[in-house]
Amino acid sequence: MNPDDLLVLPGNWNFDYRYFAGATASRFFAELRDNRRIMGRRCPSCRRLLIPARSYCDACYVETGDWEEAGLEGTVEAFAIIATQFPGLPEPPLVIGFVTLDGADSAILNFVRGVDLSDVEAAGRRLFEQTRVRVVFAGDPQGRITDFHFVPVNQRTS
Amino acid sequence: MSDPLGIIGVGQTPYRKRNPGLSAGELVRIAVTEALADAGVGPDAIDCVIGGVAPDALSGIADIDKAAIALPGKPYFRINTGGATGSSALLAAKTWIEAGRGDVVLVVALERMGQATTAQSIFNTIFDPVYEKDFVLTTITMAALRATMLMRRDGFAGEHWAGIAARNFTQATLNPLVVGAKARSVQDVLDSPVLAWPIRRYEACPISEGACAVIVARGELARSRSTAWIRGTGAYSDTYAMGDRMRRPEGSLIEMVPLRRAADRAYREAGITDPLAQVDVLELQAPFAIIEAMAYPALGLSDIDGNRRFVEDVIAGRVPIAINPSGGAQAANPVSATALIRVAEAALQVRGRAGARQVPDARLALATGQGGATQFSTVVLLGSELP
Amino acid sequence: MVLKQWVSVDGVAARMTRSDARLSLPEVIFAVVSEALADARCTMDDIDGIVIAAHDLIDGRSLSSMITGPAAGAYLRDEIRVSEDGLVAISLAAARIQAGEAARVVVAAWGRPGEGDVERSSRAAFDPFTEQPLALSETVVSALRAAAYLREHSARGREAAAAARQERAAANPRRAPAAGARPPVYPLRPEEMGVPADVAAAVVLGTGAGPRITGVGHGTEPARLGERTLAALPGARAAVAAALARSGLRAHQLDLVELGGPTLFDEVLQLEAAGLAEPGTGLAGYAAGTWVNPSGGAAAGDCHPCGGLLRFVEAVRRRPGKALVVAGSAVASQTTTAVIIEEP
Ligand SMILES: [Zn+2]
Repeated sequence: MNPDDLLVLPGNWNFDYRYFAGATASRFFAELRDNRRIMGRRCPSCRRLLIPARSYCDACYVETGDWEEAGLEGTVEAFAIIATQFPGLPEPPLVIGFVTLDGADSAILNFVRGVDLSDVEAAGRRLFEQTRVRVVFAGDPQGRITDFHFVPVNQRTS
Repeated sequence: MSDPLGIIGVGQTPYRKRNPGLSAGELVRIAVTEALADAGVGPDAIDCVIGGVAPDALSGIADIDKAAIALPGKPYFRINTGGATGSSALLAAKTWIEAGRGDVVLVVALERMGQATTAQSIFNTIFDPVYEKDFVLTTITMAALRATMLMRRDGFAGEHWAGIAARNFTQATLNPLVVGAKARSVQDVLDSPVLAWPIRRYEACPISEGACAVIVARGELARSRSTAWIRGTGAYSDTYAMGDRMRRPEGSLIEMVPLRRAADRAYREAGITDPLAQVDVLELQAPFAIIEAMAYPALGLSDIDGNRRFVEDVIAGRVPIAINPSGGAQAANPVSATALIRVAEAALQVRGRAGARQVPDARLALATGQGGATQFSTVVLLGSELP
Repeated sequence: MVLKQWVSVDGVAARMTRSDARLSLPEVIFAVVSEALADARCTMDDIDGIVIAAHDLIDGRSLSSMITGPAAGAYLRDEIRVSEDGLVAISLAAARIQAGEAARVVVAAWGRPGEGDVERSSRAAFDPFTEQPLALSETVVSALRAAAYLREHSARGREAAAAARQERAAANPRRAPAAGARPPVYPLRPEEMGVPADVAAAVVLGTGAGPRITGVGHGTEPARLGERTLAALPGARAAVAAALARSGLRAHQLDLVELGGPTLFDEVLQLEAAGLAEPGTGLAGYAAGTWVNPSGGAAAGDCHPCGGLLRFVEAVRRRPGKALVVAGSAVASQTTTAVIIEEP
């Protein structure tokens, strides 16, 4: 090493956590895993059915009330097609979308699979036309948000 | 306001990808020394120092500000509101002075993200770990989600984002602080690789490091100098849940409700009724072209339903307002400092000290700050004349 | 400097739990802020400002307030966050009211070691070139302070102070659920350590009839430990002196003091910095002064960056005549905040 060399010290930033999902989210995940249902809780004030389930509505600043089931089809509100690999993140291409399930008043984020991504530009245009999607549950549920994904309606499960 | 406040000094480092030859403290020192000289005061004049650093993970050091920014013997604290950190820190300085805690506050924001080797994977860890982090949410995909909403709603196309981006990058060539600035054409942007459709590489901000320092003062000190007077301010936060904002009556995700409310408040304070006619310069904290497009109607410059047309007018240079003469956050976006840089650039404009990027006769300039999931918004209006 | 506007403490709430998996972090915050609002007999509709103190690394969310802020009321309201001890948030929130920017402000802070080890993450705050290789952490710095104090002064009163601190914590009905103290680093002893707990605290400030904040002060020391006097806290001294000067009080007029430091020795150094004990007599003063940390301080439960707000809530709940709250902030008490609370 020359005296003029600049020291660039390798480091890392790995800290383990255990996130407490809380009772409400835990029940949401149990319903997903055990009953293949996507559940939300309705706000007694604004009457919105919040999906995924939250124990309070931050808009009204009150606790949410009854549990209700959302439909298993819905409408894509917003999507993105991940096309470039970034270090430490999953391998593209991947489509993510916020979907308002029928009967819900808020959108839930998940992967949209079963979209032909050989031409990303064309896939994007198609998703503007084809906004209806349905839920497909994983064969081996883990009680995680990845226990389901969306596919465009009228397409076979991929 | 009985005793108006203003910005009496500004200092900035050049903004570049990384600075292996300078420590974080040395970067801060460059900006602070310049700001003190610009204000014509010594460190003794400073009553309080407010630091701004956003995610600690970007530098890989927790509380990096303590060694790099805090000055022994002076009250010090750190603000952290993500991308809005710098402007939030400026607003805290205003609060401090108007509360009677002091007359002169030094605001310093520092970004050291050149030390991050996996910036996008760090940005993934800002999202909700229980329901959403699994879905590759990053600052880029967050912008892409909004872009697809706007494209479907208003018929925006890639050319619009590219037009805004090309304009910002090209304007940055007049700003010597943007190291490596390159003029880019719409075609250059459209030809750049897709990061997350519809966002292309040149619609996204680069990685930037740097420090920015601003001195806020009131009273005789401010009146005796070339001062950018604070004419109006606003700050609002919003829910994290993007899914809750899709069909919200108060305004959807693409309406930037907190920014609109912040702007309305600032305009009210400054007596602005027609911002497009009355404001001369905009410095927008918009690290993506799409975020800039969303900001126009939120700032009252266009009607949301006519915004595509307004964007086309902006790209064609047909609007009577200078937008991002510095190149904006798109050309250099040191996350922790970027919103303070917008304020600093607005101050330089109304003080007539912006060099090659000076807008002629700039008397009123507006700077925005934007952080979180388009969630923390600030607006600062600076004027060349006393309120 | 004359305060432009009285600032009152309208409501307080705090919670200490240990790895209670029934509530997520945002849910804990929502619960505690809701309690503080109820204590202030108001709702979130009455609130026009939010100031929070939270740390990304402790929360395990790299921009914590994105997710946690709305749980504290940051929904289409003016909200700002400090990455500092919660007492800094009290100071800034009070300034917002004094400046006329807000009429009623929620202040909230939290820390949840149940989700991630705070001692470990504190190591990331030290200089990677000169300090991290030497395994510095907040506890190691407290041990260095204890050693410096014992060398410069004496251990007289040490056992009595530790015992008094434990008794006060044991008598505090709001103390953290029984759990081990943080493992000590020599020369610190287990009974001199803080008890890590999942903590959240919230305060509603306004201009009502409650106890008033009559003085606030801040002090800052150099960052490098080699440039600091480890056996004293000049930053805390400056903070308390400024707060007392603002309130027009003298130290001997105080009825109660709540000190927010991670160990007994940090608390004792704050006591001496406040002028409430001569240098070297802080241990004995701590033992004899029943008005010193009647809550038990960090022995009753603690987690950065909530320590100062917990102490503030304890002080208010004890209905003091005139109280002083002191708390150090990152890194290793480089900065200290002092607040004076007085019954009207
Ligand atoms: Zn509601």
